[in-house]
Amino acid sequence: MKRSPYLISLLFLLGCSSQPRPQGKMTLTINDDLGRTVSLNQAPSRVISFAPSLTEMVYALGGEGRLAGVTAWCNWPPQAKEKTVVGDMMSPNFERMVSLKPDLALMIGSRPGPLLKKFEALNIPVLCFKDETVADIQRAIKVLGQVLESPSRADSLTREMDLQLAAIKAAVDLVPMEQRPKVFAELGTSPLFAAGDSSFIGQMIALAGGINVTGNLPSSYAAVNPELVVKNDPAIIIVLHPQASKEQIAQRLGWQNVSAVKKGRIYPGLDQDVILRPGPRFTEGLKILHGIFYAP
Amino acid sequence: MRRDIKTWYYLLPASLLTILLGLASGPAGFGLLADPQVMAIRLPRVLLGLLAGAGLASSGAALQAALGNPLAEPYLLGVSGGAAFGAALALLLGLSAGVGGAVGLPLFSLAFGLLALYVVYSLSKVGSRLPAETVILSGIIVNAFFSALIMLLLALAGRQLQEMIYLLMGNLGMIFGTQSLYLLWVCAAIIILCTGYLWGQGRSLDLLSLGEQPAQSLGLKVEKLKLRILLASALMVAAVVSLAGVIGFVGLVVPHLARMIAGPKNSRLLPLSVVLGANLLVLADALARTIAPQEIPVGVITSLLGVPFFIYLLRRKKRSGL
Repeated sequence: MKRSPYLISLLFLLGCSSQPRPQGKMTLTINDDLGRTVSLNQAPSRVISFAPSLTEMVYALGGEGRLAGVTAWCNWPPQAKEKTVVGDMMSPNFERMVSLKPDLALMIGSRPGPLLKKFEALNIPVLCFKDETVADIQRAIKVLGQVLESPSRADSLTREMDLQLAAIKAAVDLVPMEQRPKVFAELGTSPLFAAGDSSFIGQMIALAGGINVTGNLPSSYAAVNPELVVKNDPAIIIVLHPQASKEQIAQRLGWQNVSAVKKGRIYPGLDQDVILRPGPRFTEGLKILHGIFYAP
Repeated sequence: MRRDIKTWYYLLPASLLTILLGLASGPAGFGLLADPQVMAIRLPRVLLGLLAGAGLASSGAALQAALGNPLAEPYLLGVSGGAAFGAALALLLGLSAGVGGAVGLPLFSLAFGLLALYVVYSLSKVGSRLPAETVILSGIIVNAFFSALIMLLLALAGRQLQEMIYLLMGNLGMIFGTQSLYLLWVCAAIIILCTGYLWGQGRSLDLLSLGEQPAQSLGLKVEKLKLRILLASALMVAAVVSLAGVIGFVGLVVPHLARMIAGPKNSRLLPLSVVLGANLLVLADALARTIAPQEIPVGVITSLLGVPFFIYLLRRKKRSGL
């Protein structure tokens, strides 16, 4: 926790100044993660979320009343499944979106896509967020806090995250690098899919005190040869897909001598949404991973 | 005959080298006996490479002979596309896990591979003949249809998307579970039996190359023979697709390569195609495993190598006045 009290009180003041205003009137200018400047003349009341992580943030900020549409992947909290589904970023149902008369769309992306351009052409404001790092998540929550008129809630959420991050970091820092467990995160079986250090799960593993055995992959996610697992000998295998059981993984050709297999430290059945989703519950995921890595 | 012996004199040691090279290369490091566990992963993969290459090449050679068309190939005729659609459908229906994975997926790919071949066959038939142009045209049409169906499945797929895409790209890297090992034995049996059958039909295929009418008048049951050969080819392609996905151009290029070495006689052409195909795919996969830290689908490599070779063949033929 190296956040200056001055900054926090400043944010708090900012929060206070916008709260007493009556709903519906505000002027907000936001620079989103794409570097676009978005002006909102009134508080949005019909928001479409294009990512499960963003939907979770809206709920966490108490803004669910303003949520008009979500994606087919938005499954948390369970009430989110009752919202109107507008497809997803890959296959959006544009007619349904427009019929919802949205006054704000929330998207994930590091470069402008066709959907963004369509919304811009219709003069519907769009906020784009990055979701690659923990800092991205916290910044998104703060921006959404402003937009959804609950900056203090955003503040307490991010402060809580900071505390939990600091707690895990303090525990992990006590362990020297060479004693940290080598971890293989399996994201798919046919072909075998793994994550590099630049992926979100790669960062989660590092934050939780593990060493990702496929960390030096050139891309965030890639198909890898099962030989690599044998060669790098992970002490722990976390299974982030439903396609293979612990027994099936233990029986794979040539994996019998992998430490994780010998010691039975294969972990299927993890809550993928908590661990892989760059949303407000990521600290829960961190705790689960830390618990697995440093199980007594 | 002497030319034959000379060919095999070079080919057999070369094949041995290929297998050793296949076993020695991989991301865990170059070497043969470094780690028996790594070998346990590489050996089935090299085996699958040999089988898939052999199966695709022999099915290509047999199709070219049976249809009397040098462009006949499982990939171009839509058989691979049909089989891939079947496999992708099985994935979408959730048949890839458990017992379903060992039975459902191969059965689906066989059924749709056969269907594709049957449609091409009946579309391209003019009277009792199968003219080259109509075979290729109907192959294109059937391929286009199955491509559209595959795209539909890709659009409908959720979690299975990644698996489907790798299936369509052709990949020998999916064999590392015990379950796929059983499937490997089944496929081995199918490919060995079918190749054996096709080899046995070598003389009949030579007769067929004289033209259907002369062959018929010499006592050959042409329609029956053709149907059996189509069936054997489709069986092999479906077996390959269910384990390794769609690997293009091996079935087209290898028989041509074999014909350049051994001449047009089918009883010589077939075994040579089988061995060359097996070698080629094992080498291509060794390349696919080592050029990057991630897996490169071997189908990409065979297509990248196959297309220039095919262009070379075309130009050569053009120069010699077709």
